Amino acid sequence: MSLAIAYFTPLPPQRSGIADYSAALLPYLAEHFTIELYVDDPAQIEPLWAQRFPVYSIADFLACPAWRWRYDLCLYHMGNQPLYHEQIYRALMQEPGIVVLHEIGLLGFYLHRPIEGASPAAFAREMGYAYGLAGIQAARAMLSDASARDTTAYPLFQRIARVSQGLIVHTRAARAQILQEAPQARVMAIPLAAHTAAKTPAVEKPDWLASVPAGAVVLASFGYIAPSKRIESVLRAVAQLCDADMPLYYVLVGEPVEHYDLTSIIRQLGLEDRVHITGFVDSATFEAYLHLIDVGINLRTGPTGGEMSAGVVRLLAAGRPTIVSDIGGFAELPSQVVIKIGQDTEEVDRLVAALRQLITDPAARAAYGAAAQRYAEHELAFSRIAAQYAAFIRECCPSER
Amino acid sequence: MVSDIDQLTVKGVLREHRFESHTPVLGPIIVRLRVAWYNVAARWGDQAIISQQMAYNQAVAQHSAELDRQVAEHDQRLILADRDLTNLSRTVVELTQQVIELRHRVKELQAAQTKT
Repeated sequence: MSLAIAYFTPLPPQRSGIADYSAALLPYLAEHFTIELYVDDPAQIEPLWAQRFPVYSIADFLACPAWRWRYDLCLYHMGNQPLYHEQIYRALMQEPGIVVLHEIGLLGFYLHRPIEGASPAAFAREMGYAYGLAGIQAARAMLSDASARDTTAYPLFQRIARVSQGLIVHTRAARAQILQEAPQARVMAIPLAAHTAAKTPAVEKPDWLASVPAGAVVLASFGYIAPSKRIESVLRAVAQLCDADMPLYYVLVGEPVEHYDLTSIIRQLGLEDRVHITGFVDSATFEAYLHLIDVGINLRTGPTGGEMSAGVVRLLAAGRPTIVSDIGGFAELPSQVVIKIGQDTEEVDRLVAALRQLITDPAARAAYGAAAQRYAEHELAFSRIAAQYAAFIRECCPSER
Repeated sequence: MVSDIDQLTVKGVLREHRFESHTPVLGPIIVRLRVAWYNVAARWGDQAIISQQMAYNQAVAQHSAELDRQVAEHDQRLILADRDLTNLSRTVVELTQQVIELRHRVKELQAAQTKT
Protein backbone atom coordinates (compact mmCIF):
# COMPACT_ATOMS: atom_id res chain seq x y z
CA MET A 1 0.00 0.00 0.00
CA SER A 2 1.33 3.43 -0.96
CA LEU A 3 1.88 5.91 1.87
CA ALA A 4 -0.43 8.93 1.81
CA ILE A 5 1.53 12.17 2.07
CA ALA A 6 0.39 15.74 2.65
CA TYR A 7 2.93 17.79 0.68
CA PHE A 8 3.38 21.42 1.82
CA THR A 9 5.25 23.59 -0.63
CA PRO A 10 5.49 26.85 -2.53
CA LEU A 11 4.82 26.23 -6.23
CA PRO A 12 5.26 28.26 -9.44
CA PRO A 13 4.46 30.98 -10.31
CA GLN A 14 5.73 31.95 -6.85
CA ARG A 15 9.17 33.47 -7.53
CA SER A 16 11.17 31.11 -5.36
CA GLY A 17 13.86 28.62 -6.24
CA ILE A 18 12.29 26.22 -3.75
CA ALA A 19 8.97 26.43 -5.63
CA ASP A 20 10.71 25.49 -8.90
CA TYR A 21 12.68 22.69 -7.28
CA SER A 22 9.72 21.23 -5.42
CA ALA A 23 7.65 21.32 -8.63
CA ALA A 24 10.39 19.44 -10.48
CA LEU A 25 10.67 16.81 -7.74
CA LEU A 26 6.93 16.23 -7.30
CA PRO A 27 6.25 13.98 -10.32
CA TYR A 28 9.11 11.68 -9.30
CA LEU A 29 7.95 11.47 -5.68
CA ALA A 30 4.44 10.73 -6.92
CA GLU A 31 5.81 7.46 -8.33
CA HIS A 32 6.46 6.35 -4.73
CA PHE A 33 3.59 7.87 -2.74
CA THR A 34 -0.01 9.07 -2.91
CA ILE A 35 0.42 12.83 -2.67
CA GLU A 36 -1.98 15.67 -1.90
CA LEU A 37 -0.74 19.23 -2.19
CA TYR A 38 -1.05 22.04 0.36
CA VAL A 39 -0.22 25.54 -0.83
CA ASP A 40 -0.83 29.12 0.35
CA ASP A 41 -3.52 29.78 -2.25
CA PRO A 42 -4.70 26.98 -4.59
CA ALA A 43 -6.20 29.56 -6.97
CA GLN A 44 -2.77 31.11 -7.59
CA ILE A 45 -0.77 28.07 -8.66
CA GLU A 46 -0.41 26.85 -12.24
CA PRO A 47 -3.56 24.85 -13.23
CA LEU A 48 -1.58 21.75 -14.23
CA TRP A 49 -1.03 20.90 -10.56
CA ALA A 50 -4.74 20.71 -9.84
CA GLN A 51 -5.11 18.36 -12.82
CA ARG A 52 -2.50 15.99 -11.39
CA PHE A 53 -3.02 16.23 -7.62
CA PRO A 54 -5.72 17.20 -5.12
CA VAL A 55 -4.76 20.74 -4.01
CA TYR A 56 -5.85 22.37 -0.73
CA SER A 57 -5.00 25.53 1.15
CA ILE A 58 -2.68 25.36 4.15
CA ALA A 59 -5.04 27.68 6.04
CA ASP A 60 -7.79 25.04 5.75
CA PHE A 61 -5.41 22.38 7.04
CA LEU A 62 -4.55 24.57 10.04
CA ALA A 63 -8.23 25.18 10.73
CA CYS A 64 -9.17 21.49 10.56
CA PRO A 65 -6.75 19.42 12.72
CA ALA A 66 -8.71 16.25 11.86
CA TRP A 67 -7.38 16.45 8.28
CA ARG A 68 -4.06 15.17 9.63
CA TRP A 69 -5.63 11.71 9.95
CA ARG A 70 -6.05 11.44 6.19
CA TYR A 71 -2.30 11.01 5.81
CA ASP A 72 0.51 8.80 6.97
CA LEU A 73 2.91 11.69 6.96
CA CYS A 74 3.32 15.41 6.29
CA LEU A 75 6.25 16.63 4.19
CA TYR A 76 7.27 20.29 4.34
CA HIS A 77 9.55 22.31 2.05
CA MET A 78 11.01 24.96 4.34
CA GLY A 79 13.15 27.95 3.39
CA ASN A 80 13.92 31.33 4.94
CA GLN A 81 11.54 33.54 2.92
CA PRO A 82 8.62 34.42 5.23
CA LEU A 83 6.53 35.38 2.19
CA TYR A 84 6.48 31.77 0.97
CA HIS A 85 7.10 29.79 4.14
CA GLU A 86 5.13 31.39 6.99
CA GLN A 87 2.07 29.19 6.50
CA ILE A 88 4.24 26.12 5.91
CA TYR A 89 6.10 26.86 9.16
CA ARG A 90 2.84 27.16 11.08
CA ALA A 91 1.67 23.84 9.70
CA LEU A 92 4.93 22.08 10.47
CA MET A 93 4.81 23.31 14.07
CA GLN A 94 1.16 22.26 14.42
CA GLU A 95 1.54 18.85 12.75
CA PRO A 96 5.25 18.04 12.60
CA GLY A 97 6.50 15.64 9.94
CA ILE A 98 9.49 15.45 7.62
CA VAL A 99 11.06 18.77 6.71
CA VAL A 100 13.16 19.43 3.64
CA LEU A 101 15.33 22.20 5.04
CA HIS A 102 16.55 23.99 1.93
CA GLU A 103 18.52 26.43 4.07
CA ILE A 104 19.62 25.72 7.60
CA GLY A 105 20.15 29.42 8.35
CA LEU A 106 16.64 30.53 9.35
CA LEU A 107 17.57 33.72 11.20
CA GLY A 108 16.13 35.89 8.41
CA PHE A 109 12.88 33.93 8.47
CA TYR A 110 12.38 34.39 12.22
CA LEU A 111 13.39 38.07 12.07
CA HIS A 112 10.91 38.94 9.36
CA ARG A 113 7.92 36.71 10.08
CA PRO A 114 4.71 38.64 9.45
CA ILE A 115 3.26 38.19 12.92
CA GLU A 116 1.04 41.10 13.86
CA GLY A 117 2.68 43.24 16.52
CA ALA A 118 4.63 40.38 18.08
CA SER A 119 7.51 39.70 15.75
CA PRO A 120 10.35 40.90 18.06
CA ALA A 121 8.99 38.85 20.95
CA ALA A 122 8.62 35.77 18.74
CA PHE A 123 12.19 36.24 17.52
CA ALA A 124 13.52 36.58 21.08
CA ARG A 125 11.57 33.47 22.06
CA GLU A 126 13.18 31.49 19.24
CA MET A 127 16.65 32.73 20.15
CA GLY A 128 15.96 31.84 23.80
CA TYR A 129 14.79 28.36 22.82
CA ALA A 130 17.94 27.72 20.80
CA TYR A 131 20.63 29.52 22.81
CA GLY A 132 19.22 30.20 26.30
CA LEU A 133 19.58 33.57 28.06
CA ALA A 134 22.61 34.47 25.93
CA GLY A 135 20.35 33.99 22.91
CA ILE A 136 17.77 36.45 24.26
CA GLN A 137 20.51 39.03 24.86
CA ALA A 138 21.82 38.45 21.32
CA ALA A 139 18.24 38.82 20.00
CA ARG A 140 17.87 42.21 21.72
CA ALA A 141 21.18 43.33 20.23
CA MET A 142 20.14 42.14 16.75
CA LEU A 143 16.76 43.83 16.95
CA SER A 144 18.37 47.18 17.77
CA ASP A 145 21.34 46.83 15.40
CA ALA A 146 20.95 45.15 12.00
CA SER A 147 24.75 44.81 11.62
CA ALA A 148 24.77 42.38 14.58
CA ARG A 149 22.66 39.85 12.64
CA ASP A 150 24.79 36.77 12.03
CA THR A 151 23.03 33.93 10.21
CA THR A 152 25.96 31.57 10.53
CA ALA A 153 26.34 32.05 14.29
CA TYR A 154 22.60 31.68 14.92
CA PRO A 155 21.08 29.35 12.29
CA LEU A 156 17.95 28.76 14.42
CA PHE A 157 16.96 25.33 13.10
CA GLN A 158 16.88 23.83 16.62
CA ARG A 159 13.11 23.80 17.25
CA ILE A 160 12.33 22.38 13.81
CA ALA A 161 15.02 19.72 14.35
CA ARG A 162 13.50 18.82 17.73
CA VAL A 163 9.88 18.39 16.64
CA SER A 164 10.35 16.88 13.21
CA GLN A 165 10.24 13.17 12.44
CA GLY A 166 13.09 13.69 10.03
CA LEU A 167 15.07 16.38 8.24
CA ILE A 168 16.36 16.35 4.69
CA VAL A 169 19.24 18.71 3.81
CA HIS A 170 21.29 19.02 0.64
CA THR A 171 24.85 18.54 1.90
CA ARG A 172 26.77 16.51 4.46
CA ALA A 173 28.13 19.80 5.84
CA ALA A 174 24.58 20.96 6.65
CA ARG A 175 23.79 17.57 8.22
CA ALA A 176 26.91 17.77 10.41
CA GLN A 177 25.96 21.28 11.57
CA ILE A 178 22.48 20.13 12.58
CA LEU A 179 23.74 17.05 14.41
CA GLN A 180 26.25 19.16 16.31
CA GLU A 181 23.41 21.24 17.79
CA ALA A 182 20.69 18.57 17.83
CA PRO A 183 22.34 15.14 18.13
CA GLN A 184 18.99 13.39 18.56
CA ALA A 185 17.67 14.60 15.19
CA ARG A 186 17.22 12.19 12.30
CA VAL A 187 18.88 13.95 9.37
CA MET A 188 19.60 12.77 5.86
CA ALA A 189 21.79 14.58 3.32
CA ILE A 190 20.26 14.16 -0.14
CA PRO A 191 21.87 16.20 -2.94
CA LEU A 192 19.97 18.76 -4.99
CA ALA A 193 18.70 17.07 -8.13
CA ALA A 194 19.17 18.47 -11.63
CA HIS A 195 17.72 17.84 -15.07
CA THR A 196 20.39 16.97 -17.60
CA ALA A 197 19.83 17.55 -21.30
CA ALA A 198 21.48 15.14 -23.74
CA LYS A 199 22.30 18.07 -26.01
CA THR A 200 22.11 21.84 -25.75
CA PRO A 201 18.47 22.91 -25.94
CA ALA A 202 17.42 25.11 -28.84
CA VAL A 203 17.67 28.49 -27.16
CA GLU A 204 18.03 31.95 -28.62
CA LYS A 205 21.36 33.62 -27.96
CA PRO A 206 20.92 36.65 -25.67
CA ASP A 207 21.99 39.95 -27.29
CA TRP A 208 25.00 40.50 -25.04
CA LEU A 209 26.36 37.01 -25.72
CA ALA A 210 25.90 37.59 -29.44
CA SER A 211 28.05 40.73 -29.15
CA VAL A 212 31.01 38.87 -27.60
CA PRO A 213 33.81 38.42 -30.18
CA ALA A 214 34.17 34.95 -31.65
CA GLY A 215 36.83 32.88 -29.89
CA ALA A 216 36.46 34.73 -26.59
CA VAL A 217 35.76 32.77 -23.39
CA VAL A 218 32.67 33.75 -21.41
CA LEU A 219 32.74 33.32 -17.64
CA ALA A 220 29.41 33.52 -15.80
CA SER A 221 27.94 33.72 -12.29
CA PHE A 222 24.28 32.87 -11.75
CA GLY A 223 21.71 33.96 -9.19
CA TYR A 224 21.46 36.98 -6.89
CA ILE A 225 24.61 39.10 -6.78
CA ALA A 226 25.88 39.73 -3.25
CA PRO A 227 29.21 40.39 -1.49
CA SER A 228 29.01 36.86 0.01
CA LYS A 229 29.53 35.52 -3.52
CA ARG A 230 33.00 37.09 -3.64
CA ILE A 231 32.30 38.80 -6.96
CA GLU A 232 35.07 41.32 -6.23
CA SER A 233 37.67 38.51 -6.13
CA VAL A 234 36.37 37.26 -9.48
CA LEU A 235 36.49 40.78 -10.95
CA ARG A 236 40.11 41.25 -9.78
CA ALA A 237 41.07 37.96 -11.41
CA VAL A 238 39.24 38.95 -14.61
CA ALA A 239 41.02 42.34 -14.59
CA GLN A 240 44.45 40.66 -14.29
CA LEU A 241 43.66 38.30 -17.17
CA CYS A 242 42.30 41.08 -19.37
CA ASP A 243 45.46 43.12 -18.66
CA ALA A 244 47.38 40.10 -19.93
CA ASP A 245 45.34 40.25 -23.18
CA MET A 246 43.34 37.11 -22.44
CA PRO A 247 40.07 36.99 -24.43
CA LEU A 248 37.85 36.79 -21.33
CA TYR A 249 34.36 38.21 -20.75
CA TYR A 250 32.34 37.95 -17.54
CA VAL A 251 28.56 37.98 -17.23
CA LEU A 252 26.55 38.12 -14.01
CA VAL A 253 23.17 36.58 -14.68
CA GLY A 254 20.99 37.96 -11.90
CA GLU A 255 20.20 41.03 -9.85
CA PRO A 256 22.53 42.73 -7.35
CA VAL A 257 21.17 42.85 -3.79
CA GLU A 258 20.20 46.27 -2.42
CA HIS A 259 23.04 48.72 -1.69
CA TYR A 260 25.67 46.58 -3.50
CA ASP A 261 27.29 49.00 -5.91
CA LEU A 262 29.09 46.63 -8.23
CA THR A 263 29.08 49.05 -11.16
CA SER A 264 31.57 51.41 -9.53
CA ILE A 265 33.92 48.48 -8.75
CA ILE A 266 33.71 47.39 -12.39
CA ARG A 267 34.51 50.97 -13.44
CA GLN A 268 37.47 51.23 -11.02
CA LEU A 269 38.94 48.07 -12.52
CA GLY A 270 38.36 49.35 -16.06
CA LEU A 271 36.19 46.37 -16.96
CA GLU A 272 33.15 48.15 -18.41
CA ASP A 273 33.70 46.53 -21.81
CA ARG A 274 34.34 43.05 -20.42
CA VAL A 275 31.69 42.66 -17.71
CA HIS A 276 27.91 42.63 -18.09
CA ILE A 277 25.16 42.45 -15.45
CA THR A 278 21.90 41.14 -16.91
CA GLY A 279 19.55 41.98 -14.01
CA PHE A 280 16.61 39.63 -13.41
CA VAL A 281 16.03 37.34 -16.41
CA ASP A 282 13.19 34.97 -17.26
CA SER A 283 13.80 31.23 -17.11
CA ALA A 284 14.31 30.89 -20.91
CA THR A 285 17.07 33.53 -20.90
CA PHE A 286 18.58 31.98 -17.76
CA GLU A 287 18.62 28.60 -19.52
CA ALA A 288 20.19 30.17 -22.61
CA TYR A 289 23.07 31.67 -20.63
CA LEU A 290 23.52 28.40 -18.73
CA HIS A 291 24.11 26.48 -21.94
CA LEU A 292 25.95 29.11 -23.98
CA ILE A 293 28.64 30.33 -21.58
CA ASP A 294 32.04 28.62 -21.40
CA VAL A 295 32.86 28.57 -17.67
CA GLY A 296 30.67 28.93 -14.59
CA ILE A 297 31.84 30.38 -11.29
CA ASN A 298 30.13 30.36 -7.90
CA LEU A 299 32.18 31.39 -4.88
CA ARG A 300 31.00 31.81 -1.29
CA THR A 301 32.37 33.51 1.78
CA GLY A 302 32.88 31.06 4.63
CA PRO A 303 31.82 29.87 7.04
CA THR A 304 28.63 28.85 5.24
CA GLY A 305 25.46 27.14 6.43
CA GLY A 306 26.47 24.09 4.39
CA GLU A 307 24.04 25.04 1.64
CA MET A 308 24.26 23.90 -1.98
CA SER A 309 23.65 26.35 -4.80
CA ALA A 310 20.99 25.44 -7.34
CA GLY A 311 23.05 27.51 -9.79
CA VAL A 312 26.08 25.23 -9.36
CA VAL A 313 23.99 22.08 -9.77
CA ARG A 314 22.43 23.45 -12.95
CA LEU A 315 25.87 24.38 -14.32
CA LEU A 316 27.04 20.81 -13.74
CA ALA A 317 23.93 19.41 -15.40
CA ALA A 318 24.48 21.73 -18.37
CA GLY A 319 28.02 20.30 -18.71
CA ARG A 320 29.78 23.57 -17.95
CA PRO A 321 33.25 23.58 -16.34
CA THR A 322 32.62 25.20 -12.96
CA ILE A 323 34.77 26.95 -10.36
CA VAL A 324 33.57 26.94 -6.72
CA SER A 325 34.94 27.86 -3.28
CA ASP A 326 36.54 24.98 -1.42
CA ILE A 327 34.24 25.33 1.60
CA GLY A 328 31.02 23.90 3.09
CA GLY A 329 28.80 21.93 0.74
CA PHE A 330 30.83 22.92 -2.34
CA ALA A 331 33.87 21.12 -0.91
CA GLU A 332 31.88 17.87 -1.08
CA LEU A 333 31.75 17.95 -4.89
CA PRO A 334 34.37 15.65 -6.47
CA SER A 335 37.60 17.37 -7.55
CA GLN A 336 37.33 15.84 -11.04
CA VAL A 337 33.96 17.57 -11.49
CA VAL A 338 34.60 21.14 -10.27
CA ILE A 339 37.65 23.32 -9.73
CA LYS A 340 37.81 24.27 -6.05
CA ILE A 341 39.44 27.49 -4.94
CA GLY A 342 40.62 27.85 -1.34
CA GLN A 343 39.68 30.98 0.53
CA ASP A 344 42.96 32.54 1.60
CA THR A 345 45.23 35.42 0.67
CA GLU A 346 46.10 33.67 -2.60
CA GLU A 347 42.48 33.30 -3.72
CA VAL A 348 42.76 35.77 -6.62
CA ASP A 349 46.07 34.23 -7.79
CA ARG A 350 44.51 30.77 -7.74
CA LEU A 351 41.51 32.08 -9.68
CA VAL A 352 43.81 33.65 -12.27
CA ALA A 353 45.70 30.36 -12.65
CA ALA A 354 42.52 28.26 -12.95
CA LEU A 355 40.93 30.65 -15.44
CA ARG A 356 44.14 30.94 -17.47
CA GLN A 357 44.19 27.15 -17.83
CA LEU A 358 40.54 27.01 -18.88
CA ILE A 359 40.95 29.90 -21.36
CA THR A 360 44.05 28.54 -23.03
CA ASP A 361 43.15 24.84 -22.97
CA PRO A 362 39.79 24.06 -24.66
CA ALA A 363 40.41 20.34 -24.05
CA ALA A 364 40.55 20.96 -20.28
CA ARG A 365 37.28 22.89 -20.50
CA ALA A 366 35.67 20.06 -22.41
CA ALA A 367 36.99 17.46 -19.93
CA TYR A 368 35.64 19.33 -16.89
CA GLY A 369 32.33 19.91 -18.66
CA ALA A 370 31.94 16.25 -19.58
CA ALA A 371 32.86 15.12 -16.04
CA ALA A 372 30.32 17.57 -14.62
CA GLN A 373 27.54 16.31 -16.86
CA ARG A 374 28.36 12.65 -16.15
CA TYR A 375 28.28 13.39 -12.42
CA ALA A 376 24.92 15.14 -12.74
CA GLU A 377 23.47 12.31 -14.84
CA HIS A 378 24.60 9.60 -12.44
CA GLU A 379 24.32 11.25 -9.03
CA LEU A 380 21.80 14.07 -9.37
CA ALA A 381 19.07 12.60 -11.60
CA PHE A 382 15.60 13.40 -10.22
CA SER A 383 14.59 9.73 -10.29
CA ARG A 384 17.61 8.79 -8.17
CA ILE A 385 17.10 11.68 -5.73
CA ALA A 386 13.35 10.91 -5.41
CA ALA A 387 14.23 7.28 -4.60
CA GLN A 388 16.49 8.55 -1.80
CA TYR A 389 13.64 10.73 -0.49
CA ALA A 390 11.31 7.73 -0.61
CA ALA A 391 13.74 5.51 1.31
CA PHE A 392 14.21 8.14 4.02
CA ILE A 393 10.48 8.86 4.29
CA ARG A 394 9.78 5.14 4.76
CA GLU A 395 12.53 4.95 7.36
CA CYS A 396 10.83 7.74 9.32
CA CYS A 397 7.42 6.08 9.15
CA PRO A 398 7.01 3.38 11.84
CA SER A 399 4.41 1.41 9.88
CA GLU A 400 6.87 1.08 7.00
CA ARG A 401 9.90 0.03 9.02
CA MET B 1 31.50 44.95 27.81
CA VAL B 2 30.07 47.31 30.48
CA SER B 3 26.47 46.38 31.34
CA ASP B 4 23.69 48.94 31.76
CA ILE B 5 23.66 48.27 35.51
CA ASP B 6 27.43 48.81 35.77
CA GLN B 7 27.06 52.09 33.92
CA LEU B 8 24.25 53.13 36.26
CA THR B 9 26.48 52.35 39.27
CA VAL B 10 29.46 54.24 37.88
CA LYS B 11 27.41 57.27 36.85
CA GLY B 12 25.62 57.27 40.21
CA VAL B 13 28.79 58.33 42.07
CA LEU B 14 28.79 62.14 42.39
CA ARG B 15 31.88 64.31 42.84
CA GLU B 16 32.27 67.91 43.98
CA HIS B 17 32.85 70.43 41.21
CA ARG B 18 36.51 71.25 40.53
CA PHE B 19 37.05 74.92 39.80
CA GLU B 20 39.22 75.75 36.80
CA SER B 21 40.35 78.94 35.10
CA HIS B 22 42.04 79.43 31.76
CA THR B 23 42.94 83.08 32.42
CA PRO B 24 46.69 83.57 31.92
CA VAL B 25 48.80 84.43 35.03
CA LEU B 26 45.78 85.24 37.23
CA GLY B 27 44.08 81.87 36.69
CA PRO B 28 45.43 80.02 39.79
CA ILE B 29 44.57 83.01 42.01
CA ILE B 30 41.01 83.07 40.64
CA VAL B 31 40.64 79.33 41.29
CA ARG B 32 41.91 79.67 44.86
CA LEU B 33 39.52 82.56 45.56
CA ARG B 34 36.56 80.57 44.17
CA VAL B 35 37.46 77.50 46.25
CA ALA B 36 37.80 79.63 49.38
CA TRP B 37 34.41 81.27 48.78
CA TYR B 38 32.82 77.85 47.98
CA ASN B 39 34.25 76.37 51.21
CA VAL B 40 32.60 79.14 53.22
CA ALA B 41 29.33 79.53 51.34
CA ALA B 42 28.25 76.17 49.81
CA ARG B 43 30.39 73.12 50.54
CA TRP B 44 28.59 72.03 53.75
CA GLY B 45 25.21 72.21 51.96
CA ASP B 46 26.43 70.52 48.77
CA GLN B 47 27.96 67.62 50.67
CA ALA B 48 24.65 66.86 52.35
CA ILE B 49 22.82 66.92 49.01
CA ILE B 50 25.53 64.80 47.30
CA SER B 51 25.29 62.17 50.08
CA GLN B 52 21.49 62.03 49.70
CA GLN B 53 21.69 61.84 45.91
CA MET B 54 24.37 59.12 46.00
CA ALA B 55 22.29 57.04 48.40
CA TYR B 56 19.32 57.44 46.05
CA ASN B 57 21.41 56.54 42.97
CA GLN B 58 22.79 53.48 44.71
CA ALA B 59 19.26 52.37 45.61
CA VAL B 60 18.13 52.83 41.97
CA ALA B 61 21.12 50.83 40.69
CA GLN B 62 20.47 48.05 43.20
CA HIS B 63 16.79 47.99 42.34
CA SER B 64 17.55 47.86 38.61
CA ALA B 65 20.03 45.05 39.19
CA GLU B 66 17.36 43.17 41.13
CA LEU B 67 14.80 43.75 38.34
CA ASP B 68 17.36 42.54 35.78
CA ARG B 69 17.96 39.42 37.85
CA GLN B 70 14.22 38.77 38.12
CA VAL B 71 13.70 39.29 34.35
CA ALA B 72 16.55 36.84 33.63
CA GLU B 73 15.00 34.36 36.07
CA HIS B 74 11.61 34.67 34.34
CA ASP B 75 13.27 34.39 30.91
CA GLN B 76 15.02 31.24 32.07
CA ARG B 77 11.72 29.76 33.29
CA LEU B 78 10.04 30.67 29.99
CA ILE B 79 12.90 29.08 28.04
CA LEU B 80 12.58 25.87 30.04
CA ALA B 81 8.77 25.87 29.65
CA ASP B 82 9.16 26.48 25.90
CA ARG B 83 11.61 23.60 25.62
CA ASP B 84 9.26 21.33 27.61
CA LEU B 85 6.41 22.34 25.30
CA THR B 86 8.49 21.52 22.23
CA ASN B 87 9.47 18.16 23.74
CA LEU B 88 5.77 17.47 24.33
CA SER B 89 5.04 18.33 20.68
CA ARG B 90 7.61 15.74 19.74
CA THR B 91 5.90 13.19 22.01
CA VAL B 92 2.57 14.01 20.33
CA VAL B 93 4.20 13.37 16.95
CA GLU B 94 5.39 9.95 18.08
CA LEU B 95 1.96 9.12 19.52
CA THR B 96 0.28 10.27 16.30
CA GLN B 97 2.51 7.93 14.32
CA GLN B 98 1.64 5.06 16.66
CA VAL B 99 -2.08 5.76 16.22
CA ILE B 100 -1.64 5.81 12.43
CA GLU B 101 0.19 2.50 12.62
CA LEU B 102 -2.55 0.99 14.81
CA ARG B 103 -5.23 2.18 12.40
CA HIS B 104 -3.41 0.45 9.57
CA ARG B 105 -3.26 -2.77 11.60
CA VAL B 106 -6.95 -2.56 12.49
CA LYS B 107 -7.78 -2.18 8.78
CA GLU B 108 -5.60 -5.16 7.93
CA LEU B 109 -7.24 -7.27 10.64
CA GLN B 110 -10.71 -6.22 9.49
CA ALA B 111 -9.81 -7.13 5.92
CA ALA B 112 -8.47 -10.52 7.03
CA GLN B 113 -11.62 -11.11 9.12
CA THR B 114 -13.86 -10.28 6.16
CA LYS B 115 -11.99 -12.80 4.01
CA THR B 116 -12.41 -15.58 6.58
